[in-house]
Amino acid sequence: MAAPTPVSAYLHSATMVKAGIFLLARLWPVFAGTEMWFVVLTGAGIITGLIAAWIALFKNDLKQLLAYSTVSQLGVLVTLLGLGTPAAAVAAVFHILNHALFKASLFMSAGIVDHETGTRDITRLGGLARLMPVSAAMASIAAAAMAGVPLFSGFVSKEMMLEQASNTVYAGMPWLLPVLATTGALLSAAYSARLVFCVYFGKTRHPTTRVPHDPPVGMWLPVAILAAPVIMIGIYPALAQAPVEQAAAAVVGASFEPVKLVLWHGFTPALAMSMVGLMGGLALMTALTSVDRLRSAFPRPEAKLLYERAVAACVSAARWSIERSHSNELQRYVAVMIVAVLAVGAIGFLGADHEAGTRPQLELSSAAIVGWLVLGAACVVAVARHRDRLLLLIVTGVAGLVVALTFALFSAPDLALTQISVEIVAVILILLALNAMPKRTPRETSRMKRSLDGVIAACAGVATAALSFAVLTRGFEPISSYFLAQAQPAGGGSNVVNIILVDFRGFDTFGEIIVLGIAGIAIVALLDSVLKEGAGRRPAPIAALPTGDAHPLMLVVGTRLLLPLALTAALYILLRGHNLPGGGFIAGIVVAIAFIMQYIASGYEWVRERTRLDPHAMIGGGILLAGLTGLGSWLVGYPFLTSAHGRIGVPMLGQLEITSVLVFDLGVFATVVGAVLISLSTLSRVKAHESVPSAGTEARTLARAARFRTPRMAEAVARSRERA
Amino acid sequence: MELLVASAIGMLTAVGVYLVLRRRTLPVTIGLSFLSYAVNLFLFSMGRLAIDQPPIISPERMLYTDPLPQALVLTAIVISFGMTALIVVVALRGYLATGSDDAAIRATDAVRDFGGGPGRPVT
Repeated sequence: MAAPTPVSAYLHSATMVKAGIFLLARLWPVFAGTEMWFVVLTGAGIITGLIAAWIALFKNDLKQLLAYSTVSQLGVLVTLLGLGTPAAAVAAVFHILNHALFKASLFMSAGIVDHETGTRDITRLGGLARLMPVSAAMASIAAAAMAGVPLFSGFVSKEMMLEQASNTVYAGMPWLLPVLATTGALLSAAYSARLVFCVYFGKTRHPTTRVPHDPPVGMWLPVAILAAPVIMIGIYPALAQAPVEQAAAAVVGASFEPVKLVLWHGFTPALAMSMVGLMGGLALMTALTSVDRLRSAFPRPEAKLLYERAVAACVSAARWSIERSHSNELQRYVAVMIVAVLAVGAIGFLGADHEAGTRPQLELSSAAIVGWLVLGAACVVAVARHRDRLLLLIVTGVAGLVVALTFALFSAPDLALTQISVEIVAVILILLALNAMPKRTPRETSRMKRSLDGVIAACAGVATAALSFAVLTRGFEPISSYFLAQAQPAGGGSNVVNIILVDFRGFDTFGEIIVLGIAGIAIVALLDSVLKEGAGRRPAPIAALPTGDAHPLMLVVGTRLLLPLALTAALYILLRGHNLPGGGFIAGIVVAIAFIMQYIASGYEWVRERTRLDPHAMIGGGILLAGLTGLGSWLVGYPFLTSAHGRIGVPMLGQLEITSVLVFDLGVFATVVGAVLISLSTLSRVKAHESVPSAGTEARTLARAARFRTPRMAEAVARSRERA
Repeated sequence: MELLVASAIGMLTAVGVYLVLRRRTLPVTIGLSFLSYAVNLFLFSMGRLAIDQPPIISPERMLYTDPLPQALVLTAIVISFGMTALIVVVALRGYLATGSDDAAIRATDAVRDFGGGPGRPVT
């Protein structure tokens, strides 16, 4: 981080770099005392502290020295928080305060030196104390605090830190942390000493011709303001008691017990460690030249190079694994996903004890058994004869009907109605798509692969069945009693499912109709270019149907008679939805089916000429209507989509229950009609195309593919050439 | 009865998985439909099975089955229709554009989508 010195003073000492420490302190009540927190933070903290202090010791740029010493001090703070004892947390808070004071002063002192001499290089400076005594005095005070000299603020917190370290057993070795902490104290004393002695004492040296002198008061006063408390707290630590106690209480939480901040703790191991650190630091400083020579003799790791190598290794590992695992078959990915899910489930299942469920089971009924047999037959046909696509579609419809009947049997009339109407629409939709696609699937996979797929599918089936059975035979406490109890008083209706959809969870439904609308519009977008006879494709001659008559008269008449009936039924379903099975979703699909029947019987053009129904507008209008209903509740000061209901008297009809959610449901209805109609009518206009990509383009792309470096890709290219 | 429903869910899942593992787009799409049936039934059955207890408040009855899974599944049915429609159209569009309904990634498409000129690695 490069910045003007006052900014560095602020960033490095007080705010930005402490953000992480602040976060650790805030998380302290949650994690402190856990093994993981202790091992990770204490270990990482002490290692950071030592390495950064070692680097700081040999930095020649004043600001770099200070910056690395900050890294080192942050490591110490992390260690303290990692210890997990309230006393260590107090020491950490106290040291944050002290560090802010002395490090900010030192950064600003470095700025003064830079300002006066034009350099921050320690090797080009010396003896400045004679030329700028005020600055020198203040920098020395701050450095003394950083070194942990008695009677300066850093001494007290450093001693508290050493005391905590001396009481801690790390990795089963009671001596490890005290030794490391003392070494850290020694290194910090050494770089503090180097800072002061090399810059302010010794032979006078400076690169400028002009003689440096103390700066104007505006520059040294801020340093003095910070240096004064360094001495005051150093001599009388109780001055800091109140702020430290307040902050430490916030860190530790309820179990906080005040720790008295005092200068003299008596002859403790911590005092001995502190003195060893101080003396050792001074000794190291005097021997620095020879230590530096020794250090230079060994190779040093270059962080940038290490980083670049690590990145390069990651890239090549990623490339290797992609080239090995990437295949051009979707099937393999799907198989991997399914097998992975099965494996996770199997591990969970086998790793725990199980007992059979005790919930009483329902009695079998013959109708249910028949339904089950029909479904079973449909499934067998679906697997055995899936290459006949029309047959596959028919058995899909059968399975869907059995699902609908299941819903009807088990007290879900709304679901049964929805499933049965959706099923019809889905079958028509796929039929329309099949019109333009091959009617049979070629046999391409080997018997081996098919058996393997069969095994995977069987495992998935057995696992799902077992899971469902396990859930069904266990009792539970539903969370929906609120909905049952509030349906009538708050929702104003008796069909709880519909009220959940349009009222309690109306916002979800709002999102879902938007998704449905987007799907419909996406379908139009996808097929639009095809409908406009897109690029280079020529339409195949449409095979005439053997029946000869595309629009049989009976069908035409029948569907036209049915239209008003179907619309009336849909209106009925929509209106009664609030109290009886029905609602916007189902009514919408019924209307859509009524119109699709007209398309089927009389043709797309015939219907288009006679309707002014624009599905685009219905999607947009429906979403808008639902959204506006929601916004309406804002006008009367309620949250989005709050419902209102009441009774009004209507001549001839008597009292009518009306509710705002009916308008919302109308929006749902319109969106569903629009989305279903738009997808089906667009699909119905796609004619069978004989698709022949132009030979030139294909050859060029293949030639480029041949230069592919992936072996698999090359294989695929070779295969497609063979086919060509 | 629980065993019947559970095994039905299992059958639907098995068929769905088998079809999803096919190579051509249409069986894959129908496999997804089967999986939707299975998932919808499974979610629905999380409210447990009950006969003649529809969640429609009436003064004559005291017992109601859990309405919440039903509400969730109702929208799921409609949304899975939307999804099926979209996938069918994507499959159709792919077939019309390429003349093949193979779900595998073709080498030519891979070149178009991922580049791959001389000497440039595929990443």
